[in-house]
Amino acid sequence: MSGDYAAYVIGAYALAAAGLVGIVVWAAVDRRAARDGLARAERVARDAGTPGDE
Amino acid sequence: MASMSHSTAQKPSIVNPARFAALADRAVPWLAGASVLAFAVGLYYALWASPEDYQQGSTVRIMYVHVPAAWMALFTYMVMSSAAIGTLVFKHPLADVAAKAAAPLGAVFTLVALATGSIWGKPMWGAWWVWDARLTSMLILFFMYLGLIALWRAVDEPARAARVTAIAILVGVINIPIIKFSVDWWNTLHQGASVMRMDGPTIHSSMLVPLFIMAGAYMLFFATMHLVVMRSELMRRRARGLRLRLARGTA
Repeated sequence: MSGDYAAYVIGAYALAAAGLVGIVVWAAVDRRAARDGLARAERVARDAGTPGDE
Repeated sequence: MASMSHSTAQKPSIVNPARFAALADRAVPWLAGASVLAFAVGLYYALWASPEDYQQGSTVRIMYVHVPAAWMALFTYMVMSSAAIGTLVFKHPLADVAAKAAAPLGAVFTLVALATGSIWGKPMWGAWWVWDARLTSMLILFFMYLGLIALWRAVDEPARAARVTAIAILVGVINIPIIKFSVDWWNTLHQGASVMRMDGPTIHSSMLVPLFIMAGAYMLFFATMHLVVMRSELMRRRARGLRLRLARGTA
């Protein structure tokens, strides 16, 4: 890699990686929140004797 | 949306959200593995095995992350447009889930395309940003993604949110051909199409192969994350349905 432009190439790849890794982290946090929310709703419904979807 | 899930409970195959969720859970690890593998091979070619350009030098390597991100930004919007038709015409229960899950992914792809393009532009054009038709229409696409995400959040009732956003998505689809053909319709600093041309690509195969491998990796990444986010959205909607049922039962 020619030295003159190496910083630009590294910067571009770092930004692209940050974007893709950002999606992965956000999706993991979002999934955890959704799973916790569903577990809480199912627990409340069970305690109240409300039938679920199944 | 609770009524939507009731009406589809008996539908066969992956139209049934529960069956789709089970299939997604099985597919995600395989897609994720294939995506990591494709990125590993693509990055090897992009950073080491492919040649430098005789004019651009090593900045040509930015193309391997910039161009697939731009393609995915457009592809994601087309996925959302198909899903919007699925919502409005076929009332498919997963259509709105698919569109809603794709929007943040599309926004990030667009941002990556804009940012990496800007980094390429500084050494090649001498400017981080120019208001040419391609860049401006891509920036508008980014704001459209943000607007659609905000619209989903602004409308409380999911079925109504699905209809409103589906209409907004289909109105916004006009921007996709504008982005694609902006370099033909106007004089732009951004170069013209060099891969998707009627007379074939103008890029040498030593650069075209890594570009397609990286595009495949981005596509697999999108498929993986789209399924993961759709799965989360289905769980959220099921939880909402349970809470509504409970509220109705206790009212």
